[in-house]
Amino acid sequence: MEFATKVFVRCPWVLLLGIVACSGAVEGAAGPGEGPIDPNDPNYCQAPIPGSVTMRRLNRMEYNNTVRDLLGDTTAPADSFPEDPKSGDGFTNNGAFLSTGPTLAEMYSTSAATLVETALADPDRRAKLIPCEPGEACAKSSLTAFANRAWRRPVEEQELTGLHRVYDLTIEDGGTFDEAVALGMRAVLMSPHFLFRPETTSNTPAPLTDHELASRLSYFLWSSMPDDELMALAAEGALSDTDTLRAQVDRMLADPKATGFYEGFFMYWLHVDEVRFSEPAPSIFPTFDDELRTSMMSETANFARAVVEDRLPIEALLTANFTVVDERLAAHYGMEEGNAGRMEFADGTRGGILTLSGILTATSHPDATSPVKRGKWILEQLLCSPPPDPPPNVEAIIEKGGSEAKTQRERLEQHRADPDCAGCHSVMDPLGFALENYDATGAWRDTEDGEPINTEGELPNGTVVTGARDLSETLASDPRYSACTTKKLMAYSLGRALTDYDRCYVDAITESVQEQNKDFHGLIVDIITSDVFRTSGGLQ
Amino acid sequence: MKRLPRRAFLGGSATAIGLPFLDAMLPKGASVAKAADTSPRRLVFVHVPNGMIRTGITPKQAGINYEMPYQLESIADLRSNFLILTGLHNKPGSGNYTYPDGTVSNDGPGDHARDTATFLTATRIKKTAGDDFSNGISVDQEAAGYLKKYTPDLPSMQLSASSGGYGGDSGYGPVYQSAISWAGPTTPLDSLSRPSDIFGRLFMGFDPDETEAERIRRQHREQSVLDSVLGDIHSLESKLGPNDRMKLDEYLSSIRHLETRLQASGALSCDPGSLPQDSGDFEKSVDQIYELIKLAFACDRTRVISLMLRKGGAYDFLSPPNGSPITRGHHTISHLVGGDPDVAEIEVINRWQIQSFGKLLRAIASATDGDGQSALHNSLVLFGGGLDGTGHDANDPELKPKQSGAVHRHNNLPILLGGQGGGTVRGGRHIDFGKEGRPIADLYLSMLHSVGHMAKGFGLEGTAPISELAG
Repeated sequence: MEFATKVFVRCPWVLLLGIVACSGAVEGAAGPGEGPIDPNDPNYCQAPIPGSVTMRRLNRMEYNNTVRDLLGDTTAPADSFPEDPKSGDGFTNNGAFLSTGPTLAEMYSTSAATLVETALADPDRRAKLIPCEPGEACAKSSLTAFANRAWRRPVEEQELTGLHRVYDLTIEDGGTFDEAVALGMRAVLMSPHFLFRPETTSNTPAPLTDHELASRLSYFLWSSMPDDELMALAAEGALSDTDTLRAQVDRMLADPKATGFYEGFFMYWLHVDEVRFSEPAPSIFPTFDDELRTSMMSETANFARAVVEDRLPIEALLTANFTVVDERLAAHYGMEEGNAGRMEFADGTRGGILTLSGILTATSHPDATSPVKRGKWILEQLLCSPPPDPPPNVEAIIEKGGSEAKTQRERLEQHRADPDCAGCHSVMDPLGFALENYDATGAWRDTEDGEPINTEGELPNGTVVTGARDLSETLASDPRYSACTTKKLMAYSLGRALTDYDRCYVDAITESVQEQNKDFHGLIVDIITSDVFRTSGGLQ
Repeated sequence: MKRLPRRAFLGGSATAIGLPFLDAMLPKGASVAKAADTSPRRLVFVHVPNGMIRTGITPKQAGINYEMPYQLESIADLRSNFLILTGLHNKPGSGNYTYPDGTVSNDGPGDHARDTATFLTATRIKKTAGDDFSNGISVDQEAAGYLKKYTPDLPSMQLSASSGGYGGDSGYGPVYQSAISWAGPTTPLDSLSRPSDIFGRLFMGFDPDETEAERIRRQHREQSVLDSVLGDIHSLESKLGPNDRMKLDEYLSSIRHLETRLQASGALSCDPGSLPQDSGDFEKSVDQIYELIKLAFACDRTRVISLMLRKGGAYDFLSPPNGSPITRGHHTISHLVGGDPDVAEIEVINRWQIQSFGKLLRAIASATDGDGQSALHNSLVLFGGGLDGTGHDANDPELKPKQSGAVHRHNNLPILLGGQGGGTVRGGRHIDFGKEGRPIADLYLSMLHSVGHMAKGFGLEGTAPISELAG
């Protein structure tokens, strides 16, 4: 029986141009033999539905990391693939948005050929891929082993016939052993079993297979393929065990490959990836360049790593009094030459995500800060409470403070003066004002155009915050923060947007995190041991 | 004589080597040229976001004797090669919209998302930041479906002057500003912005170093790779639910596309020239893109191209007269909140855009088709955007730019149409569709008809081609 979901319906779509038969969005989902299931029904949480995840292809980071781990290739070929489309959350691992059009397929083909050629040209790498003497048996066993690893599961007999035929045909028409094996390997890398992460799904929720779980785990915590240990555990069926999962989380977060988590989740959650496209005005920020951009992104990843590895509570992401810099960023922050690494700021002028230069830059205009953008970012990304849409003629009124307005703050005061604007701006602007000591590239400033910076802001509930430290503490104690962090992490771990059907899982985990003041290890374990991560189905 | 290396033609990770043209580019013994279609019809679609200031691009007079408006000075000499079209609208892109059947859809803010997403689809998009996004097929893809019989191995190309750096808009997810070309309701198409990647896409698989025997052997071998992949797709299909099958089907189409490219990878009928060097410089890249568009047409590699002519950051290489380089983002300035200084900055951006359009027309015109006409004569080049965007008051007879509330209108779009469409379009005029206007989808119908695809309708409102285009 086919279900239609409240949130998404896929139109039966015939790939002939212009022919679309779309049934449109339908409220609710029908259970087997019952009426529609309402996720807001008080009894829903007795049997919540995990839903399924639209099959995702590897995104660019995942492709790069996977070929690194599979073939030892460090050339990052996917850097020249087109940008991955983003979900509404800002993640690039959401299957609904990832596609495999002709441009990308051509690049996969070229990339596969190059990857295989260079791997086989290197004696060490070749020996790992072809650990036997050339001959038909060796070719076939090597291709089988390669497919098992590349497809992240034991390959079935009939799946191998296509690969073996590639080898046979090439040998038949005079190709060498290496040429024939290379072509077989290219077929492995072009296969949907490599490029996609298919998961069998059904109309009723059922546990994922151990191999599917292994892939979910490794792409969640490494943005890469499972390693031998994960594959062995999957083969034994041991990944269904909660203690095993817990232990794997610890192991995987301690592994250097966890960089894929810090770069994949935190960078995109916090929108720091956008700093790649920020262009601070050269006349005002003459020293801003690609090296600084890279340093900013590294700061975010390394700071997140420190919070996670040190087992600090989730709130520490906001309230930590340190950051992690390289020499370039240290200079940008006005520190003495030779400084790099973890830096504590006892005076509270730096520390926590609100003062990460990547975020501060990505939420600025090319030539000025934007308290509104920063406030909106905090509401959306940290509190999951986006402001309502602006009124239709908003740009008619924005940032028009007249010539007396010297600072951004003065220019924005009109928001709160105008009743049409006050509703949203009394929430957004004070958040941004608190960060006005950080200019459009995240560097500290005491004055703006000669005027001393005023970072005081009154939140709607009357709380007055002054400066980043104050704001960080206030946000950290807001229950929406840990709930939002849970939601963002869950959406990232699943590769789809959350819906009302997920509220039970979100609420249970948020409660557990808040009551026990958990750290990221704890939150991650809660997510991956939850049915929402381990089972799939329903809501097709 | 040294043969040119194969790797250079495979694109992707190719290094930036300059390749001198030699007769040796053509494979030994391979027959030259494809179908002897001497008047190939092509379509190019160029989109600029945030609208344009209309005063400078709208002549006071309609018809053939219009005075060239000041912003179009750089293309005055191309007068007979383009039409100025005033009064086209794209109502499905509006906040409040009434469908032809009377259904009302009031979606509120989000005009920038709607501008980009609906410019070439002329349909209503679903307001969502969730996974349930939905648009329609774009006119370039509609055209590509018809024209691919001439260039089966590369039905169309999607280009962008800068990649990334776009976001969501008022409840619409980022996907809506990511592309102007859509293959279907849930399939936005990737675009390329690096010249070396574009060159690689155009000439992938063409190897001047290859003998006929080598080519046949390579095609057999690579086809066996694709056959293996096809087998994997078919076996996987039966195990998937409908959503996943749609994703797999897309990959299936792409593999079929690779097969077509593989079979066609024989002789090139032209001189591809050197592999372009990527400079990272915006202006230079745009110039290179135009040369590549010309090359694509001269070599008849494809007949449908779309281009997002946008800049992620500020137009900092431009300064208004007596002013300093522009430091604010294009969108920020486009609302003209700051009055005259903002107008001056937008006008200099618009002047650059018009000049850029002129460069594109000249590039295409520099190629000659088999019938002796310039390639521009046989093409149509749409240039413009889905927003009026100037903040002027539509009731102001002088269309003076000024800051006003109604800045996000989807009426009275800034549109220029270059080329003669093989004789179906007569340039050199200003056509004013008046207060009622015409849906831009009607223009798209005309463009489809000009290449021989006699579609009956397009988008939500395209019902009849525009007879005035023929003059």
